[in-house]
Amino acid sequence: MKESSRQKKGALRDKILFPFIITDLLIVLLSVAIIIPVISGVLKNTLKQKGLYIAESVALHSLEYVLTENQLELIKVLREEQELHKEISYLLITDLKGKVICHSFKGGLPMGLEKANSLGSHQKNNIILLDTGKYFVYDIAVPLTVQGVLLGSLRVGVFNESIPRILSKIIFMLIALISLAIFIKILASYWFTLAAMEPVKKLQRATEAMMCGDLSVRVRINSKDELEELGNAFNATLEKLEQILVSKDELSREVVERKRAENAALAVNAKLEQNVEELAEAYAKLKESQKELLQSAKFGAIGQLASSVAHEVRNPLAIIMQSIEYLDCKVAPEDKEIIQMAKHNIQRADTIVATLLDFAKEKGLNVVPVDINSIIEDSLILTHYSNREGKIGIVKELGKDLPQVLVDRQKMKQVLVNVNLNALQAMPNGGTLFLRTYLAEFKRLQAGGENKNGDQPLPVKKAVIIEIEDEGAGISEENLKNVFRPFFTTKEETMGVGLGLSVAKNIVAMHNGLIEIKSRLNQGTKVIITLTVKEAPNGKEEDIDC
Amino acid sequence: MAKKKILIVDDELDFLKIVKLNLEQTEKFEVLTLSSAHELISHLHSFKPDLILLDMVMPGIGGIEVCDMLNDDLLGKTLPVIVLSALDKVEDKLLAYKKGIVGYLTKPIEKDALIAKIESVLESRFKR
Ligand SMILES: Nc1ncnc2c1ncn2[C@@H]1O[C@H](COP(=O)(O)OP(=O)(O)O)[C@@H](O)[C@H]1O
Ligand SMILES: [Mg+2]
Repeated sequence: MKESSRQKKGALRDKILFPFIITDLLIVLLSVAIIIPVISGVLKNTLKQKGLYIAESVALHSLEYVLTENQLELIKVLREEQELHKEISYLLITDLKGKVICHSFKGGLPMGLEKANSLGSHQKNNIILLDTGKYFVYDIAVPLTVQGVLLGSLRVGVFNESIPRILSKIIFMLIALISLAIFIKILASYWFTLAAMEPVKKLQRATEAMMCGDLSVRVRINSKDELEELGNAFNATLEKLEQILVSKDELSREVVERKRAENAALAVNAKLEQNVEELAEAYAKLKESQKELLQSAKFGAIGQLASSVAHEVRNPLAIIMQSIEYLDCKVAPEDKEIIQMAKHNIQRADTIVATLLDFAKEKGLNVVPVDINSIIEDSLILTHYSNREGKIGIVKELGKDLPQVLVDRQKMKQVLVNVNLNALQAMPNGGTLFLRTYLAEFKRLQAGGENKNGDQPLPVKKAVIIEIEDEGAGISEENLKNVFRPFFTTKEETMGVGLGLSVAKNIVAMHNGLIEIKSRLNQGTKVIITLTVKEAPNGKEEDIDC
Repeated sequence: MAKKKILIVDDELDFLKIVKLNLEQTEKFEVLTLSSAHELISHLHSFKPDLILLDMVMPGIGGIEVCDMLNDDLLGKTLPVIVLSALDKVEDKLLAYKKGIVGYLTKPIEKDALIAKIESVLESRFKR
């Protein structure tokens, strides 16, 4: 990791330097390529100019000697001139026909040189390049004129070889200079790069320190550029980080606390949920009891109505009763039966009133230990009238040795009469009425309050079950919801007032029992009454009635 | 045996009439009927009944108030009172018994049962 970071360190520098060097070299090459021809051109010209200048001055000097045909002086001038200028290879003077009059060559005129050059048209300067075999020479011919009269020409041979020499000298110096410049530049750029890289390195070092956990490091960059900004940002970040980490303990403590709080919240939530459940349960119960209350309020209202109705009905019944009995001894013996019938129906009317009043009664349960089967028999006697045509077969499947149950005999009889009557009425075309009683045992749902011996098995709850099943019309699902409602009836006015089952339910509920109805339309109905068996406390009978 | 005097207080005129007929039919009783308790005390003293049959629910003066009136009267408090009412609630019965009545019968009542009760009460009275 450290190595690679170090590699990167160099890489960045190289990345910056390498292009610099390459571009520098390219520039040098380019400039050399451009400069050399230019310089050589310039050199050639200067050489030519120089030659021309020398030639013209020599021509001016030697004019006098040409006129006087002083050969010796001419040669002297030429040789002096040649020695004066290194560049001059030779000097020669020709006559008008181009014939060499004198020359500076010590060992004689080289072959072909005489005719090599001549004045151009109009007697103007003429420069040509001569190849001597050994080297190149610019042969410069200038006219020799005196007051406009052409006497001949002066030719100067200038070495061309000095041009490459000078050129190479110049190029060498150029390259040397450029190289020096590049070297300096590289050094400078290296140094500058290093200087510029310094903040980066600082940042790198600081970052490394930070990575090792030292958060107190700060970078000091005064480069007045983006890097300084970066450094400041870095410092600010560290500052913040340090702040965060300084309060790390606090934070972690807070986290712990928060977690604890969260757990607590969760617990509370769980409890809340439980509470909500309980609440929902309580609400359901409340609703149920509200319903019951409403029902009982209804019952209360009905009760008041019932007792006043009862009073109003019983008074005329009393009168009728007394009247009929008054007549009893006055009618013929064969009509006594009619008197009896009237009395019987008065009793019936009174029973109805009594039922209504029972319905309204809340207190007055007169519970005694009772053999349920005997109540079944009683109820059958009372409902026998409804089956006087004998269309309905009655099948009794009564359990033997059933425990006695604490019930109000009269009221329970009322329940069974009501249920039996419904069953009989449901079978107008005959059928079978099943009456069953049996003992059921089941585990008590809630643990007993005084369950001191924890391992004791849950007490067994016993109940006597009464089933009254018919093969009648059955009850539709819709009606099944309503059968226990007071005054709900599907029967004609003369047949039922819709109080039978609500009275039955009321009474069973007073005994802490349960009454359920299962029914299938057109198949039959089964009413199930469950009465829990309590161990009867001996001799403790709640006899309220007088 | 002299006829026993029965005073009946009830707001039902028909009832008064038929019970009077029924009781007198036995030729054992002399019956006076009152449809309200307003002039009860004066009639009480003039008629001097052996037994009173009293209705509970009456407009104006009710049965319980009649019991109070009788208890405030020297003669009245010595007389046996049998309540004859359509009310058959235990509370009503208890309230009446607390006022010192000797029997509580609920309407409708059969003639024979009524007479039997009256006779038994009168008998126990005279045995004492
Ligand atoms: N065994 C039954 N078979 C068919 N329908 C029944 C039976 N028992 C009750 N019902 C229905 O329930 C209604 C309510 O019954 P109940 O409360 O006894 O009032 P009632 O008998 O006066 O109508 C009846 O009108 C009838 O529609
Ligand atoms: Mg019914």
